[in-house]
Amino acid sequence: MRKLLNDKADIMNETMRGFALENAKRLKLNEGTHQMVRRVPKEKGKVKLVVGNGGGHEPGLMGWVGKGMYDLDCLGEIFSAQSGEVFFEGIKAIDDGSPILLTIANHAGDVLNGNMAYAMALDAGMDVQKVLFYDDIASAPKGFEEERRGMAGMMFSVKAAGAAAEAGASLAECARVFEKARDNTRTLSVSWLSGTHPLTGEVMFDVPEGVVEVGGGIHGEGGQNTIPFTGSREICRQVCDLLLEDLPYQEGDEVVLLLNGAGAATMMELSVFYQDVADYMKSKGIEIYDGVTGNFITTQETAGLSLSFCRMDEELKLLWDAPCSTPAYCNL
Amino acid sequence: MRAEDVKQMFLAICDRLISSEEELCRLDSRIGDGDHGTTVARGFGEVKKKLEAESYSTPARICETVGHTLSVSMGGAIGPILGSFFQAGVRKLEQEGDWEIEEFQILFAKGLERIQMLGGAKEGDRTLVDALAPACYALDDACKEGLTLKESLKKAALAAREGAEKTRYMQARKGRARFLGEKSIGFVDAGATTIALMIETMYEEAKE
Repeated sequence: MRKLLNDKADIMNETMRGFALENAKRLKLNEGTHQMVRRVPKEKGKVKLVVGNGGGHEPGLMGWVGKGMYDLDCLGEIFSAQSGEVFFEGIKAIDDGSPILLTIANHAGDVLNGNMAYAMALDAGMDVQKVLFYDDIASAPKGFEEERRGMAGMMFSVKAAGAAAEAGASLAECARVFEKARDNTRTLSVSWLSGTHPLTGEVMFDVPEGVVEVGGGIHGEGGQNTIPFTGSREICRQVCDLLLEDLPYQEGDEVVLLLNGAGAATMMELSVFYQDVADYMKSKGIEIYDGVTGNFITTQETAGLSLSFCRMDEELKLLWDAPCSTPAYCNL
Repeated sequence: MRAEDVKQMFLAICDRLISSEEELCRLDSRIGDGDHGTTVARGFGEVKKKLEAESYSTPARICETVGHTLSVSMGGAIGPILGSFFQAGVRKLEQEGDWEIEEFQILFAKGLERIQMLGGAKEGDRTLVDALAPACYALDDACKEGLTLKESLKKAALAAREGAEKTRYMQARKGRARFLGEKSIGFVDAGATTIALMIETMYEEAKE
């Protein structure tokens, strides 16, 4: 394995420390913990957005800690969520009596530990509500949306709820817009070369020569289908068709598009793919209201990407356009 | 078994699982993210440190420590699942001094119940429940038949290993492997193997 690291046991500690130092104007890592918090806390009384999850996806959700998005990301180890108790410690560390929106990406460990932290917060008398995020159409069929995995499309929900929170919306309102954005979001991934697991040094999945894998997960779980490795335009068309059909997104709809790199897809590849998506959406009569491209939720050096659409209405547009300032995404 | 014997039993489990890191990673890598062995080794490494540093008056206190340490140090889904297995029966067993077969039977039964409540896995879903549930039934039967602790744990260990082996033919319906559909068939589940190793070590360490 060729990865520029120090001691295996310290990877997450050093990753978080480094990320906090790089972003010292916006972020702070609470000493001796995996709690990534804002440098300047949000005004008291406004809803705080929190999440707990595994590392190895850098920047991952800690990239969205900052004004207009998260207040806390509590991390565990590589691809492994923190325990419920450790998550609750993180929530306590930022608790000033403000309401807490506890967000959970739909993965077994995140859900179990998120639920435990939620129960502890309730027992402690906190004003807390939990919301679940899922968007990956490959992981369960239509009609079983709640069983789908949470992927990069979570950005839309966090952005919406974060903007509502900054504007002083109630906890119930923040939860409502989080779920509204989720219910309008769909994501699908493709990958053509697997990354290696930093702890085991092993390749996480095999993609045979000449094909791309469709629908793999963000922890190197292989996908269920492969399609021929033709070229960006053709692969884009197939991915878009599956996404469009699922919601469905229809002629006249307006969407925000998120093109998330899995770690080793180059900006060149992502740009080529982006213009293919733009052309294809135009041919379908769907308007792209805004778009974002970048490495947000990665799986080490996996060469792949995920495409997410979020269907917009006036309310979601306002929330999307609201200012935010985080290491991974700024809108000023 | 006295508290000191139960502690030795857990230390042996720690050593067995820590030395199985590679095997468990290999099993997980076929369908998961390939780090199950590392996670298990991390958790039981912490347990070992904790147990060696303290002394315990009852087996129940040891289980409490094991469960809590696993839950906090492992994280993921496996942390609370394995952790709660050891913690679920603790309240009921608090008053007990030395442990015999009945106490182990309660620990297992309560633990299985808690794991299924937390994770929602049923037998046949290709999870560690497929090793744990048959072991629990074997302990129940052994208890009724009046077997000794060592004999009972032997039956439980055999049942767990057989259950783990059967996961080879099951399609995952829980955990990350479930997204693979039929691709998950053909490999023994890593979590079920961990359970089999654990119970086998319990049998080996049990006092006659």
